[in-house]
Amino acid sequence: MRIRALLALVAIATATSPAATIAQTASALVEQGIRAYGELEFEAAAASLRRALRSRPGVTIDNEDYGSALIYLAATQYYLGNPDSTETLFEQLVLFDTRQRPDPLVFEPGVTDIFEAVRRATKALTVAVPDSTSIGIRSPDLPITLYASSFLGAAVEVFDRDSSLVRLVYDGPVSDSLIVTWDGLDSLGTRPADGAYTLTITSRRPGGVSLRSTRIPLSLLTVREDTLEHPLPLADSLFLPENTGRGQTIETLLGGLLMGGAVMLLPNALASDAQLAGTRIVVGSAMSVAGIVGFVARRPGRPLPENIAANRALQADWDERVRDITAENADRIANTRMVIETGASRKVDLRRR
Amino acid sequence: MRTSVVRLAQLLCAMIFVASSVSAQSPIGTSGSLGASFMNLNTVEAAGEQRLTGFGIGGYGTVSYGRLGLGFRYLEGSLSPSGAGTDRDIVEGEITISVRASSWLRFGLAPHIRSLIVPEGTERWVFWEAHIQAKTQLGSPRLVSIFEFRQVLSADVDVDADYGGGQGIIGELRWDVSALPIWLALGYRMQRSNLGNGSRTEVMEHFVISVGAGRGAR
Repeated sequence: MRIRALLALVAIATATSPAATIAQTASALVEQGIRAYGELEFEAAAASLRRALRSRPGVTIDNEDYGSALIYLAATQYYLGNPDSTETLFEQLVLFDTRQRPDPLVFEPGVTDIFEAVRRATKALTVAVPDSTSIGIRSPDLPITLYASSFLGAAVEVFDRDSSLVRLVYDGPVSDSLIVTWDGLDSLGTRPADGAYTLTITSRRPGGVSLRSTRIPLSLLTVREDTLEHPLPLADSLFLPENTGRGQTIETLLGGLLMGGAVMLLPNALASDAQLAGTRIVVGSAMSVAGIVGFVARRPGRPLPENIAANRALQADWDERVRDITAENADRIANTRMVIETGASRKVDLRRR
Repeated sequence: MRTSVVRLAQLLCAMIFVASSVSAQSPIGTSGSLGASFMNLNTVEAAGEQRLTGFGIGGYGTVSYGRLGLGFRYLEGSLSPSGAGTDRDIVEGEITISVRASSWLRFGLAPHIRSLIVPEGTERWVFWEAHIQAKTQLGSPRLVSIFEFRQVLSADVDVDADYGGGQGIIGELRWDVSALPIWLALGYRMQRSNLGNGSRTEVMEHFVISVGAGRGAR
């Protein structure tokens, strides 16, 4: 119950935060303007849409709503007999986002024709990059998508904090849309140091005059996985003797003879007055003979196949572990990734400089 | 006796099953064996010496945990006099508690009961024995020699004489069958007991051929 109450409070707090409230208001104004436009109340529509356009796109109004507000406001101006305003608003739309355009099924050809004329005349570029990219074996490049309003030239460059060029990623024409990729390396093919960089996309007229620049802050961070430690070399004490030693064979001989002798002789000593069975001789002799045979078969210096096999298995196991760890470490080193975080883009009009 | 043999065989099968079920890595070890025992009982008295020979079937099982071991032995058989006299049935039972001091040395205690049954009644011997056991490999881990010395600490005998003392030995040669948790063994067991001031001496001998199974508790 307490958790539900807490969640409700969080939801209320989120919904009533200033940014959310303004965004809701701006979106509501766009909806209100579109509704008025549908009812042919162009003055009322224009008023609502102008109010919505006072909001900051991407912050207090959704980018799509902002683009819709520009399109509908341009259309109301068309119907109110202000074609210059329509052109200006469409130019704003193209500069804001080249991907947004009036739907020909919704707007009459007079409106879309003006938009097309403005789009062709306005050389603008919209850039899309992911918020976060991890460059590694599985995802080797940062994709940078360029959307051009019409045919133009573009240069995609990465600069460091001192505005020194790190890498020219692309320099060439863009007709409609183009995806260029940055492999995360500098001009020399090495990984730049972690830190802050700037991705700059500059649009140019086909003749070569720079028009506008979009600057996106980048944060580069190299992420490495820890490598595994190699196992310690096997201690000599872990290996079994591969040849029979003198001590072992003496133990075999003495063990067999002493125990066999004890079985044969001790009963006589303990029960000298009784007539004992001969079976003790059978067992005692067998033990003694087994000791002698064991001594002869395993006399000093003879190889011990079981121990040799056990040692080889132990060494092979260790070798395999080393191979596995080496392979795993190679994988981990190869899997070193560069994480690129992108910040909010900033557009600069180079013609006004 | 036939019923007992069947029971012992069933016990051995159960032990083999348990032994094979217990992982070799487990600290608990189990083993069991079934053996044929050729017996020889010498009774030396002032009146003369009496000798009985016979055959019995017995089983031996152990459970070990780390250095501690618990053993059970049971034997049934019958003895016949070499001359004139009546046959006797014999039943022996023993529980052994032992501690492994090193890889080759073990100490233990065992209450040991022997009953000799004749038509006139039953003569029961109850011994409390301490033992020390040594084990050595004979050139291969699969061939093992075992020797055990037993000292009777006290005893209770239901005959008209006090118990005077006793000792015993056990010798065994054991061969592990390759790749199976089964072994074959050849053993000799002897126990001498005195009654009163030496008026009667009993010497019991067993020659045992056995087959056993188990892991980690041999």
